[in-house]
Amino acid sequence: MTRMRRLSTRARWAVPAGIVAAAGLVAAASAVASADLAPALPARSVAQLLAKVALAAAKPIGPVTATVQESSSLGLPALPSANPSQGTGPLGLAQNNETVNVWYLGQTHIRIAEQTQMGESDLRLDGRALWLWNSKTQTATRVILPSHFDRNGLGPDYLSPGHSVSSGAAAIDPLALAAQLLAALGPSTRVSLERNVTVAGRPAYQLSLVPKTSRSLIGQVLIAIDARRFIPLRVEIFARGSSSPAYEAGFTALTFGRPSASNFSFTPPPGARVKTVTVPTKPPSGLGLGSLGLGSLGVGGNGLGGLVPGGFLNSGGFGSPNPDSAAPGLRAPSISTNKPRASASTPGNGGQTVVVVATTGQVVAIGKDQPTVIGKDQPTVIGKSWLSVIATPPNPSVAAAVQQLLTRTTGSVTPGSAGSAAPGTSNPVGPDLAVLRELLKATTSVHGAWGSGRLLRTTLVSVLITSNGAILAGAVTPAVLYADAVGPAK
Amino acid sequence: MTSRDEVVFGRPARAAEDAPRAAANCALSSAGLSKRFRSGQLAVDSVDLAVPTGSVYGFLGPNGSGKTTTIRMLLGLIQPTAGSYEVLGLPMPDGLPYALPRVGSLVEGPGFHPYLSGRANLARQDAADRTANPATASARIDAALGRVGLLAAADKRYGAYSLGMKQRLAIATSLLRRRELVILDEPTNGLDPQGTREVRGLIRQIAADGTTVFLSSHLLAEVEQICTHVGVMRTGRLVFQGTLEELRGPGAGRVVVRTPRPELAAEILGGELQLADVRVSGLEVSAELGSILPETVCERLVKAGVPVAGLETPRRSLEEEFVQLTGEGFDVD
Amino acid sequence: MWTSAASPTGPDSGELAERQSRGAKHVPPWFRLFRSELRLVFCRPRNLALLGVLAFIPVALGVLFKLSLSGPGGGGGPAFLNQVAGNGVFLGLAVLVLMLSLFLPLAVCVVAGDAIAGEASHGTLRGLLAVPAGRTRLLAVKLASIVLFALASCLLVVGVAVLMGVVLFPVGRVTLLSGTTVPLSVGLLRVLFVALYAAAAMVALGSIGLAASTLTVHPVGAIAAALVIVLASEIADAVPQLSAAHPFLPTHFWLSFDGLFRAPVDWSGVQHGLLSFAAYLLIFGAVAWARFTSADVAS
Repeated sequence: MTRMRRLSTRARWAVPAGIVAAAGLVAAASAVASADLAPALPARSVAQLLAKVALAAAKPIGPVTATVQESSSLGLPALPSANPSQGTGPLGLAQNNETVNVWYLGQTHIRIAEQTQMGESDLRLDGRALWLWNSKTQTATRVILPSHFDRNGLGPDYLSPGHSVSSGAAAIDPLALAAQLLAALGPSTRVSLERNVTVAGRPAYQLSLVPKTSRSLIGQVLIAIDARRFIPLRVEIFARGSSSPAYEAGFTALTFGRPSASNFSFTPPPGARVKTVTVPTKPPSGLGLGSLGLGSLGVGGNGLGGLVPGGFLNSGGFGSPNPDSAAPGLRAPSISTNKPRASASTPGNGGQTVVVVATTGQVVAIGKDQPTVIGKDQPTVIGKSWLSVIATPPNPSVAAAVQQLLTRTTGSVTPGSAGSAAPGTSNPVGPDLAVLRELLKATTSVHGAWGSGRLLRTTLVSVLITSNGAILAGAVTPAVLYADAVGPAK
Repeated sequence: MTSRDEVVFGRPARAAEDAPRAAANCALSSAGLSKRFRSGQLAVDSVDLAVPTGSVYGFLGPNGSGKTTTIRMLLGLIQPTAGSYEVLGLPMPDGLPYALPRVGSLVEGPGFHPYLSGRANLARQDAADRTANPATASARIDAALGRVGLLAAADKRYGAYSLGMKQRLAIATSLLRRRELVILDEPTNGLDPQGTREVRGLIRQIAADGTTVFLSSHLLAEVEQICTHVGVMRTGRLVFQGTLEELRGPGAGRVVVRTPRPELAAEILGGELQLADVRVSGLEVSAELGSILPETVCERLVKAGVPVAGLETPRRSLEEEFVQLTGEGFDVD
Repeated sequence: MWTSAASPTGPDSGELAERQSRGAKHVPPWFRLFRSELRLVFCRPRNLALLGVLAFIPVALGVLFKLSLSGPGGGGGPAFLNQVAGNGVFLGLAVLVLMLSLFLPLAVCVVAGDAIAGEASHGTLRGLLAVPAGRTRLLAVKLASIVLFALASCLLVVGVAVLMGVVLFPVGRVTLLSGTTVPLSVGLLRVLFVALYAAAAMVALGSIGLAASTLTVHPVGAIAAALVIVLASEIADAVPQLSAAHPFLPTHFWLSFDGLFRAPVDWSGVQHGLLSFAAYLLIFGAVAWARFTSADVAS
């Protein structure tokens, strides 16, 4: 006390200043520790690395507990359905951050939990029993799996065709496979190794893919590959000319070891609403990863994709039976075709996905968790690799719906009036058309030699809806869409 | 202002070299104590206090002359910007935790929690004193309340107290323990004559117990009635310090002559005797005596045939001294 | 201690004799001051009114929910509300989440902002310091009383709400966010832990209020300053452009206790929160100390 009194005023204020500095240092140190430290790793060529990845992909990954984080700032306008964990980003554009926890024991014992503040959505697979749980609605959904599920669980066979490359990988020489891959990529892509990084506390190589064409909106794709197990740890997609990723998905925590069995079993809690849905017997064809060229890497097989059964839910097969439970699956394919599948398949309801061109040919708008089928036509893929564009043929009902949404300011459009081609969905629900309207508001009117229509531009994806109802979408500059529109819009 | 220093009587106020010696038998002493506020205002300018142990020291000065700031420094509430001081012989501020329990104080009016009773407020003060004995707390609190005559109102909310009761409760805090020094800042401020009389009685009692009392006031009468020693502040400086007698000084002053012929008297006083400042008012003539004795004046007047009905040399009043020192008048009690 | 050595006249007549006989009744001086401080905080009519309001709101909300809820909710409304109808225990959480947005911070800000500035404005601060209470000691006691008030108000809110929940709604096994259940006792224990976590958050806020309180002689100013910090932080926390700064905001982790209601329990949110609260307590406690021990008391 006596000594304290002698301290000058300046010396006293040095105490809080020192504490602030110390707290700052601790925060900075922990940030550095968790940041991309560049670990020293044995040098490898791209081919050697890809061969290791191919080998690893052929083996089962083994029990694991992981946290996967996905974030995107695609330059889409803020949409009314944004859930509380997502807000408007710079310039009022939507930012999407999602964290998903994964417990994986094997193909038949999986739990995926999307944690939101004061809420959680779970997918639990325990042998043949698949349960979805949503704490916000207190709803438990029992999913009846097709009979042939027993064989492989939700394994690679059931996953979308994009993964087929890797399923046979074990049989062939991995180095040869890598060489094959590189040769296939060669004409379109510059493949190189960037500086090593640390992801989820694990040292990793970093594979860089840069499109050779300047007509792609993608500037670079970085894939962090675990230096010990050679599984992909993180994917970052950079828009052309941008230094921060427009889309990012990867592990923030990864532990190998048997998760507790209590994670997988599920009994609906008392008081919860219980529903049942049935999965169609035939696996629907998915929107392949190949469309943007990344799928050919085969990382999905038993790597990240294999972790997550939701991958199959992505494929659009859920569009029909029950729209409520369809949300989990319908989210991913929309704009990010090459994200790690884990994050793509969360059974949550906070999705930001708005327009899905599902492979079944349906054009589906999804608000919170209410998909609305607007059109149903077989989509086609125009162009190759980075310049791939998904297109649906002209459809008058789509054009009419767009027109209606743009002119009306209030009220809602019934599905019936929106598209006579909707009968593909057995049970259409009330549309969350505000979302679609917001999205359409963000479009600009465009016209040219190819015709006219409305264009939506985001940092990574361009979408063109022509005046006659054709839809074209791809990670390309609008000029590519215009050129492609000459075909289907005709 | 420096010319004022010259008229100071008694012990020179500015004698820093005396301070250490004085401290030995001083309850309060300071050397060069100064406070410059952040605004740049020099509130206290190099004050050298010497309050003898056992004295009742009147700390006089007009409002705003730096009295309260000085007291706040003495109690460790404000840090001096220069100078040193001692309380009960202990150098400050290091000795603060040891000296202050032996010092009772009332600074700038009473301050208590309005929703607590008078007793609870005293209990809180006592609880804050880590050297006080909790076992005797209630007895000491009752005794203090009794001394200030608040026992009957002890359990009333402080907020319901009259101004005089509030002031008395504030004095009671300095009576919670036996003190060696009591510092009271304007203890009668705002009180009615009855309350003032009560408080002055209390102060006399405290002083009678042998406690040194340091009493700040802007009321000369108060100081004149109670105090043995006086310090006078003017715009932050201690312009006088000494006993009351020293303040009054020797009787050198004016001579007043009552006569039916004031004109003649004035002529003689101003002409023959060459006295300064001769004034005539009615049948009275007055002039400054200077070095001339009153006897001489009387003799000359009589010789010159001036009928002297009366002649007096009134002592300079304290008030005049005070006005001379501070250049200001008093608030009349 | 000092008195016997340096006060030759002795503290009081007969005090020494009593001091010897004190023995079992010995009360440490700091505890005397702390007890006096607690009396000041918990007996003050205004603070009692605050606690009364804090206790009344859960009752009112419980009745309101009882009247408006039937069956599982549709997912709207505040967190945990959809589970209240099924299990009254969740009323404690739903009410706490609601009250953490305004009422609890308000109550804590009032008490913390009043701590030093209130004494200064009543003129009691100079008296206490001249006793001398010791500035560091007084500040420590003030902080301790804020801690106790935060604890009392959070436990009061949660306690009354759980009680109302038990009275108005069925109780039983507690359904976690993950969809699994735990026994009622485990659920109640977790609710208690949530209340303690919220109290820790309020203590961190209290240290901000205390620091503000040392900067002014107007308690209302200090209270308002602390509340403005809460509101500004809550607003900033909702702006995604500032997402990099979010973990450093004082209110960011207030609701991060939801990990306690997951299976398995996810401690990361609680850990981050407690770390953040401790950092705020240290920083603003130090600011308050530096300011209060060096400031001129001119009130």
